[in-house]
Amino acid sequence: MKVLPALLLIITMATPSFAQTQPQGDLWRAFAQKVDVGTRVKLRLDDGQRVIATLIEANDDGLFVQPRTRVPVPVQRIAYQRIVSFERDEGRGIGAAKAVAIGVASGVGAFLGTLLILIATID
Amino acid sequence: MTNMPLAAAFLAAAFLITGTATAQQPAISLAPADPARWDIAGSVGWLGADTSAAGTLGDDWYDTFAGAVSIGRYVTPHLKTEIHGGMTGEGRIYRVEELPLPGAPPVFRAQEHYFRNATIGAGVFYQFFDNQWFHPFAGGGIEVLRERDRVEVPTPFGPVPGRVLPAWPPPPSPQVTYAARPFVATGFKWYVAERAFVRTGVQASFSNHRATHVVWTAGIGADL
Repeated sequence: MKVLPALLLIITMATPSFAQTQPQGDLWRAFAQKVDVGTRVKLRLDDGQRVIATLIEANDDGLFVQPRTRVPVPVQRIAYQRIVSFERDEGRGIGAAKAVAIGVASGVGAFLGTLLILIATID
Repeated sequence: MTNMPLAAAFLAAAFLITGTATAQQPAISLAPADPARWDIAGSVGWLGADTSAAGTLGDDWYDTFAGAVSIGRYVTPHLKTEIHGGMTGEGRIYRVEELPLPGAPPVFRAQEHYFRNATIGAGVFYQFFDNQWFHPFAGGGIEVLRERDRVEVPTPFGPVPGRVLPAWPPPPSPQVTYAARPFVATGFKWYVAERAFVRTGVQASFSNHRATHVVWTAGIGADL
């Protein structure tokens, strides 16, 4: 008799995610179809993955994007119900990552420069 | 036995939940169609090494130029095995040796030690992020260190100026020692092109539970 309540509890905990994400998917579909193709977008998925991508197409079946990566990867389809957050990536300001990169580049440059000077002074 | 039905219920629920999870589409793949298999790099840097284990009076640490090359093999997009080899310039320290003199205060003999290292090591590194322009990494391994110690001994000086001192034998030079030491390293790769990067990092190798050799490096490399 203890089995039934335990099962019910687990299934009850698992079920609301379907109930909540399905309407959310419809909203994202409507939103995505109003965004211009070629727009840089920022996505967060239900598995926690965050990605910045270029919007290729938004149709009834899903969103087609090309992730912005160093080595290009194929266009990929994302189901609307997997989207947790979806916004245009305006790329305003320098951003934390860019600031870190600039800082790091300056540090490396200074280090290499100092090193070259030291090497030049070695007898 | 009383927990069996409960266990069965949890098992069924686990299957239900994992079944739902596996039915979902895979996450967005950031892996390129032709991922890098190899990583080669060359670097220059600065080494600081502790020689206090020798136990004589004088300097403990020396520092000098270091250069290294490495080749790595990606086991997964994040995990890489790597072997590296490196050499250093000569690092100098000054030490004082106490020599016994019967019936008189001891005599001191200065020594100038010139250390030069060569290392070869193998390690495993974890590289953070997928297919991005900036990749921090961390790892560790084992390296074999060859340390050459060349000693120069100026004239001894004693408590009585002008006194003729006995001729002490000079310390053996050069002395070469070998040691295998664990190391840890961390740093980052900053890509300047799809498969070319600038890499900088710091590595420390250990002996007797303390860092004895710390090297800061910066260099360039490529994914192949």
